[in-house]
Amino acid sequence: MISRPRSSFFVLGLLATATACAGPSVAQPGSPAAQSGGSLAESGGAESAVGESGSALAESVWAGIYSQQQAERGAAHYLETCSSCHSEDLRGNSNAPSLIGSSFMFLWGDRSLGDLFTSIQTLMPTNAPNSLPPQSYLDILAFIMESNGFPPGTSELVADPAFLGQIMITARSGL
Amino acid sequence: MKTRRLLCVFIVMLSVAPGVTAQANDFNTVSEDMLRDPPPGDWLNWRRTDDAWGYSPLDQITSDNVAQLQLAWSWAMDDTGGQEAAPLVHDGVIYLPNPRGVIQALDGASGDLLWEYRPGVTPRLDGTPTSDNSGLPAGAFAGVGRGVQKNIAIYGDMLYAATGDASIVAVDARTGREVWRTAVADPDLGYHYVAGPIVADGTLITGINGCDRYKEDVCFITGHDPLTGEELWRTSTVARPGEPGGDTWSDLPLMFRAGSDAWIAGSYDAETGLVYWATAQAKPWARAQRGTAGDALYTNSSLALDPKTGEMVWYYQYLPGDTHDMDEVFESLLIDVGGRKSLFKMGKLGILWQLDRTTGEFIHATDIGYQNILDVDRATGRVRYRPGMVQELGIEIHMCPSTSGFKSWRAMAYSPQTRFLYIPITLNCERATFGPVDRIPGGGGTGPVRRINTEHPAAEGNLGELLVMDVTNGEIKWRHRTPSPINTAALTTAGGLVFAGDWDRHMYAYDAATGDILWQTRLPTSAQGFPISYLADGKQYVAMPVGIGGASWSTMLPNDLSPEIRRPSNGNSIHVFALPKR
Repeated sequence: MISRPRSSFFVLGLLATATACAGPSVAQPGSPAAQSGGSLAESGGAESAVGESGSALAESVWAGIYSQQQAERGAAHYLETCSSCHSEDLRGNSNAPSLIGSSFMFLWGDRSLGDLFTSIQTLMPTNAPNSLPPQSYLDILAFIMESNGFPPGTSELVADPAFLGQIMITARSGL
Repeated sequence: MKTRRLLCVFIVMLSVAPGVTAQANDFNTVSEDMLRDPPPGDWLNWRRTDDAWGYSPLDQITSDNVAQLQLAWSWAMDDTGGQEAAPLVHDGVIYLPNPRGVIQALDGASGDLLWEYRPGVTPRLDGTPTSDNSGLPAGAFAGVGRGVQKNIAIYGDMLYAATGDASIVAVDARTGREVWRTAVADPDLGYHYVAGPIVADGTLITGINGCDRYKEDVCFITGHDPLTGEELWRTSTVARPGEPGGDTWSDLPLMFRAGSDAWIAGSYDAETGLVYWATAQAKPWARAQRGTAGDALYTNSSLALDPKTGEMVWYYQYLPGDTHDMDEVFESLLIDVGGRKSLFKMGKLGILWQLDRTTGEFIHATDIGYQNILDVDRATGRVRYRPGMVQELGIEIHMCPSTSGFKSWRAMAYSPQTRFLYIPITLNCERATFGPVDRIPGGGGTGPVRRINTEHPAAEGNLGELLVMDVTNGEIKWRHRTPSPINTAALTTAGGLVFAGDWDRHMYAYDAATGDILWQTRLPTSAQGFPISYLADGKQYVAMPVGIGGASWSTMLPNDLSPEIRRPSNGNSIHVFALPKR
C-alpha cells in the first residue's frame, strides 16, 4: 500500500527552495494533481514552479529524463531493497502494490515525479524509511520509469525538486 | 475441571522426580495423545491446544502476585525479516521460530542456546539451486511480510516448519539437524509459507500462501507423512472450472481465480475428526477488478477437512464475493456453548461468527459495531452490502475498517474460567479508491488502491483495543484502549490473567474478569507475536515476542495515524518474565 506523503510542508519547503534555484521548467498544462489526491501544498508548489523558461520536452516522462546507466544502477538497488515486497518484476505481492502497468498508472498517473520521489524516500523501505542515499532513491525512480516504458535519454535524473515536481507521469507520449 | 486434575497429576510427577532439568538429549517423544492433551507446563501447538484457545492451565502467577513479575531473561532474534513468532515449549525447552526459517532451541529457565537450525535457501522444484542466504544482503529480506515464520509444529522427535520458499522441513528436535525437506510448490510463482503446520491424526497439515498473482494454479492445503514429508493429499482452496462451486467465479478461467490463501494455521477436534482451516479473500480484492460478482468459492470460508484424506466434509463461506479485502482467514476457536460444539471466528470486519463445527451450520453472528460495509442477519448469517459499498473502480468510498482490518493474525484467546474471548483490535478506517489490474499472466495481485488511512470515529484518538466478549451471549465485558495497535495475540492463564502487548512497546497483564491492569512493562520495540506461558524446572514463565515487520498494523497504520509514537526499526527478540526467587 502506498499512501500519500503526510509531510506536505516538507514537499512545499523543498519546492520553495527549488523555485529559487529555477531548474529546467516549462509551461505546464493544467495540473490535475489536486484532483488525483495530491495535497494543495503539492499542486500549489508545482504551479509555482511553472512559468519558468525551459525546454518544452523537459517536463515529460516521455522526453528521456534519465539515463540507461542510471536505470541499471536503480535495478540493482531495487533488487536489493525493494524486490522482496514488490517482486523482481515489480508486480508486487499481497502487501505491496504493483509498480508497473495499469496499477502503477492508477496510483501515480497525473501525479508528479516529485510526489513519487518524496513518497519513495519518506516511506520506503517500510522497515527503514529514508535509509538509502538520495542518489539511490533517484536511481530506483529511474528504474521504475524504465520498467514502465518511459524512454531513457542522455542525462541523469537529479534531485532537483522543482524539476521533479513539474514532471507529470502521463500515460501517453506528447504534451 | 479436566485441566485442574491434570495439573495435580503433573505436580505429583514433579515431586517424584524433582529438579528435572530440560536438556535436548533427554528428549521425551511427543505422542499424538500429548498433542491432544498437552502437559500443563508444555505449549505444544501454536495456540497450545487443538482448540486454539491460547490458554495456559498454569496458575503460579496469579492476579494476586503478578505485580511482582520481573524479567528473567531475554534473547535477541534474527533481524532479517518480519517477526511474528509463536514459540513452542516441551519439557522446559523453548523452540523459537525466527524470521527466514531459523529455529532455535533455548533452555526455558536460562535462555541458553541448546541448538540452532539455520537453513540456506532451498533448491527450486527442478533441483536447480537458488542463492544461499550468505549471498544476499540482510536488507533484501527485511521488507514488509518478508521472512515471517509464524508457527512451527512438534510431533514425535521432530519439529516441522514451512518455509518462505514453499517447502516443508522436518528438524530433529534433539539436535536441530534437518531430517527431510519437501518442496511443495514453486516459489518462483509466488508461492510461500508464512504459517506453519499442525499435526492432526498423525498427518502433518499446512496451508500455502502467495496466490495474489495470476498463474495456472491456485492455493491449497496439503497433508504430509510426518516421517518422510511425502505429500498424501492436496485440497484446493479455489473451486476450479467444471467442479462443484466452479460457477461461483462466473466463467473466469483457472488463471484468473486468485486468492483464497491459507495463511493461518488451523484447529483440530479429535472428536469430530475434522481439521478446521480458513481461507483468505479473493484476489484482486474488488469484484470489479476480478471481473466477477460471484461468490468466489472457497474464499473467506471455513473448511472442515478429513485429516487423512483432505476431503472437504463441509465448508461455510462468511463473505460471498467479498470486495474490500476483508479476510476471514484467522484462527478458529473451538468452544462448546449452549450444548453446541461450536467454532468461533472473527475476521477483519469484527463480526464474531459461531458455527456448528460438526455440520458447518451457521448458529450466530455478533457484529461488534465498528464496521460500515455490510449488514449481517444474526439469524441466518447472510450478509448484505450497504448502499454504495460495492465499489466502482476509480470512485472513492470511505470504509471502516481499512484493508488493514479491525482484526488480523493477532489471535484472540479464550479463558474457560471467565468464558470470555480476548480479542486484539486495531481501530481504523480508510478513504479507498480501487483501480484496475492487468488481466495477464503474472498480473492481478491485490489490485491498486489509492489509500488514505483515517481515524475510526469511535476511537477517540486510539488505534488499539483489547476487546473482551462473553462467548455465551456476545456481550462486551470490558475493553482497554491504547494509542497504538494491540499488536500481539492474547494469552490467557489459569491464574485469572490475560497478557497482551501493543505497538508502543507496552506489555500488559490484566485481570481477566475485570480488565484491571495489574502489571505492565516496556519492551525494546513493539510487542509482536504470540505470547505463551510454560514451566521450566517447575517454575512458571511468561514469554513475549517482540519485533517489527509484517504489514499494515505494524508498518503502516501507526506511521500514518499516530506519527508522534516512535519505535526502533529493529529489535526482534523474546522477553521472558517470572516471579522473583523466594
